[in-house]
Amino acid sequence: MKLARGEKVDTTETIDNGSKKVPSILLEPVSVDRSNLVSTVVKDGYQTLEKICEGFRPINVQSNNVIFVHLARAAGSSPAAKLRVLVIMTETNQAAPYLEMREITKSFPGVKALDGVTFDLHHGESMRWLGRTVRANPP
Amino acid sequence: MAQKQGVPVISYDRLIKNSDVALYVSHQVVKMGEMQADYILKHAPKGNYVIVQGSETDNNAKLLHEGQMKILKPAVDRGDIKIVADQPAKEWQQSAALNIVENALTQNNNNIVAVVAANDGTARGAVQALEGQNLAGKVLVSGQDADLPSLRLIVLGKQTMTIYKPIQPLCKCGG
Repeated sequence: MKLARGEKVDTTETIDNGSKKVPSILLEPVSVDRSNLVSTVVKDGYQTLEKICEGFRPINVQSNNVIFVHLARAAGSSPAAKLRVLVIMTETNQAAPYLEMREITKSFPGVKALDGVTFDLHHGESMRWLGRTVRANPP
Repeated sequence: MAQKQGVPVISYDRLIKNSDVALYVSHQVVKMGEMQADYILKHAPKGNYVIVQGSETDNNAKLLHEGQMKILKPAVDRGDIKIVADQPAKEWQQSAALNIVENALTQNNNNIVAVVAANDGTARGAVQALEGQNLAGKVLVSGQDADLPSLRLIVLGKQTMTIYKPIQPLCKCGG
């Protein structure tokens, strides 16, 4: 704490409490709904998506379709890497898959990581990758 | 006093009056009320509103209500919305909010479009009342604090929004 070190806190705002003008910091509130939940509370690390969505199976998608696609989460990695989460809100074109991936094959030297993987992601569907992500490069 | 021993005193959330405080850190409470009302009004521009205030003994509850009314009053005057109930929830209690919303629903034959609830606890009381009438997710509900149970309700679509108060600026200057 700057104060404990005897330093001044950078604020220009003061509020009079009757005996002195007290340096003040007024925090900026943020309005949060489903559309920005991940980019605010989750991104700041205030709450994790795992906690928020714990036990949801699948996420309720009745009124506004919301899809949480958990792309990847590397153990012990930076907060940014933990945030490989995609939130998709959709309202139209519900019949067609939102995302189609066909015959994905991925190899690393000596290892075939993916062998002809295909999947569809439909509107209103929630999907998670389980397991660790092994990253070849440091973040 | 701690301050005399060289320990700086920080007044958080509520200002300590008439004392040697090194720093006051707080929330823009009126603005939070405005943000709640603004969000709800944008998404439900017409219809019957219920306001669930915080504790009547808490000055922050008054400030919050002041902010809400700043936004809602013009819509009331235009005749767009009607505030059918506007009551404080005793000690910010969820059960008190549940009662207020239940009564409002009964008195208005469930004809409510939005509940402007002061915080997440009271919002959850409102959601409970709405669930009883199969209206959860159909009636907008505001909140405040970004509590975990309310974030879950937001994902489920039963609570509409909350006010999140990032503490990042604090970490930066305190860091």
